[in-house]
Amino acid sequence: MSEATFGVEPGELYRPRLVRIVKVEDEIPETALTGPVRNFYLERHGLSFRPGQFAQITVFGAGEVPISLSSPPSLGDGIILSVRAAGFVSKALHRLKEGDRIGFRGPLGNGFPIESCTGYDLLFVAGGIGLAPLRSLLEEVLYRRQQFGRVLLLYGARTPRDLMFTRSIPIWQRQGVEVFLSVDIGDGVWEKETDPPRKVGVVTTLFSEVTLDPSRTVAFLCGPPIMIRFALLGLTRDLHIPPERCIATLERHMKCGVGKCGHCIVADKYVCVDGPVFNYAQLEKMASVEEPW
Amino acid sequence: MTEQVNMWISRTNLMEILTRWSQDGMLIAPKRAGGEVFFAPIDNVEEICWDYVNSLISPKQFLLPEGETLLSYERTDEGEWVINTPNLDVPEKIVFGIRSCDVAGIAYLDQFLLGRMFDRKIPPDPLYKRRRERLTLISVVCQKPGSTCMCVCCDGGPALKAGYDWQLTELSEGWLVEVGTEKGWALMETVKALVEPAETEAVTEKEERLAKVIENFQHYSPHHRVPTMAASRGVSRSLVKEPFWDLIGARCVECGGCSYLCPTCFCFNCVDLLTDPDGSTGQEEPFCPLAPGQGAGTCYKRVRFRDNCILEGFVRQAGGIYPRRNTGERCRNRFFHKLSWQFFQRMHRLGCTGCGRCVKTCLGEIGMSQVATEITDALTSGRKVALTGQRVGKGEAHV
Repeated sequence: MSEATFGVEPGELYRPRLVRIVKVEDEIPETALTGPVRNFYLERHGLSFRPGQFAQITVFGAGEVPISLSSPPSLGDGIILSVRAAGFVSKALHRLKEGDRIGFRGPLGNGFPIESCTGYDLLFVAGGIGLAPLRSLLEEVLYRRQQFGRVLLLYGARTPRDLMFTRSIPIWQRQGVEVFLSVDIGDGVWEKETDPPRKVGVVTTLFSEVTLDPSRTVAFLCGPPIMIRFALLGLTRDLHIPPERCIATLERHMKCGVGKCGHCIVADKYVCVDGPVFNYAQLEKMASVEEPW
Repeated sequence: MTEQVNMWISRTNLMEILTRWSQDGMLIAPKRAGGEVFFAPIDNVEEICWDYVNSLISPKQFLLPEGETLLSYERTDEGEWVINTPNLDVPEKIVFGIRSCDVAGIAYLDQFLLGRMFDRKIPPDPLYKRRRERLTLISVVCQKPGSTCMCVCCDGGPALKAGYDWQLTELSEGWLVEVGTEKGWALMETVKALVEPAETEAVTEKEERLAKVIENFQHYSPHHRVPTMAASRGVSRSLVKEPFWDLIGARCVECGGCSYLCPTCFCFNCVDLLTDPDGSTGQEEPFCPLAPGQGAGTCYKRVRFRDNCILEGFVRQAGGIYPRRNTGERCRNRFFHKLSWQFFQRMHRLGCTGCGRCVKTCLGEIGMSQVATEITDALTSGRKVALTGQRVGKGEAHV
């Protein structure tokens, strides 16, 4: 990879570019446990990126945080960030409106190895807002649908209200994605519907619902640490997918995003540059020193 | 001119050279203040402290200064933001009297901050790179190691083979100068009337003196290299389990002194500070949220400060995900980074250069060499706390 993929001049590593917010869209309302999630549509300025990469987003006056890009690269003229108001900067971001400008430094990180997955069946396992980085890959796959085999999505959230991208799910289904949903706690209404197929329980309970050929499947995961841990166990032990083909993306606190500040270190890896995408074989090696989940 | 020739300077000529540099305002050298030695700009060569083991703070402070501005942004009359990056023009400086352990530390910072340790090509840190290009390292070989020094155990001295621009060794008559870089040779050109090629006897004398210095190490002789490496092996293979780190962590008071003084620690935190637009008052306020009525001319600076992996907030994330919650886990992370083979492979050396500053500053006696010794003791004595990971009772608190 060249230095150009950093989207910055080598001499101006820490300088963000100014990007306008084109549209702000509510995704999930605020709940008792979690802040609201909104989608921020940004100008793209011809920037190229890979699914699974992230950017350092500056909210002027507040600070800079790493946020994954949740739209596919093939979506012509925009970039979408799906952000939960959780910390100081993300809450400040939620105060911004259409037309405001933010600082954008990226794309950063390695991204998903989509090129080496052609011809495989793809299994997506997502938990909560972890669907955001996976949506970038999922929709990119749909743009190149004929290059891949089956596409399955197992998606779990705390409650039906916490499910992300509910408007997109029927569209994905029409494009041939086999979707399975789960919630930890149902609301009495959600469980009664049957399309897409659903269960009350954690996302790993959906593993028994799917039949797939482990020899030709690649699994992609993103979610809270505890979910990644048990989903990886389930994928390898119950679904017999080889560890090298279980691919997860990690989340860590970062200040620089370019391998300098040292905040995102896990075992001997820097999540910002060596990751954030790792396969289970790498993660297990890291886990022998420090658990990445 | 890159042939391996050693040079020789007489004492008076060295003072002459130092005087010249100090008059040009380029000289940084050890200076005594309040009972401690610090590296500081020198106006008068009389101020230079010659009788010191090492400075309290590592000379990395000239490459990674505290509170360095990464960028600033200002609100225009139209309500837009304008981003300015700082002027990277820093003056040329010469650090005289830096010790080998700190030279090795700077070589370690180069490996990381210039992006060489990654498989992918990573752009270097522009501010560090600029300062590094403008800093000349003139190291002086230690002849009287301190009680906490352990450079002999981790390839950090007392003399080095590379990394310095000049390496000076004091001999009975004058100084031997070894030149390590092109930059060092260029500097040599500017003072060539005052130096001459060294006789072979001078080199022999240096070797003899060096052998004597190594013998004089008080606590950590070269024989301790084996325990250091054993500790490294134990950490790399995860033979040292959580209960051991819990006990180490229990002794950590989270003062952050170890990494503040460490010559190889580089982690930083960034903060956006509200500043006076013309910078006249220099008043700065942290964490001022984006207030609605913020008018034109509002100016912020993004400043980086040193951060420390031992501190609680280092890895805390928004949304409640919080790795390394206890001090033991944070200590494990720190010692893994410094001692492990995994990082040795990426950085081409241990993360410790043996300067002993952490040993001196730590209140809980968990400096690098102390922990390395404890790891080795625990592993060799086969204590179950280290090997099996079984928790032990309070009575066995001292491993």
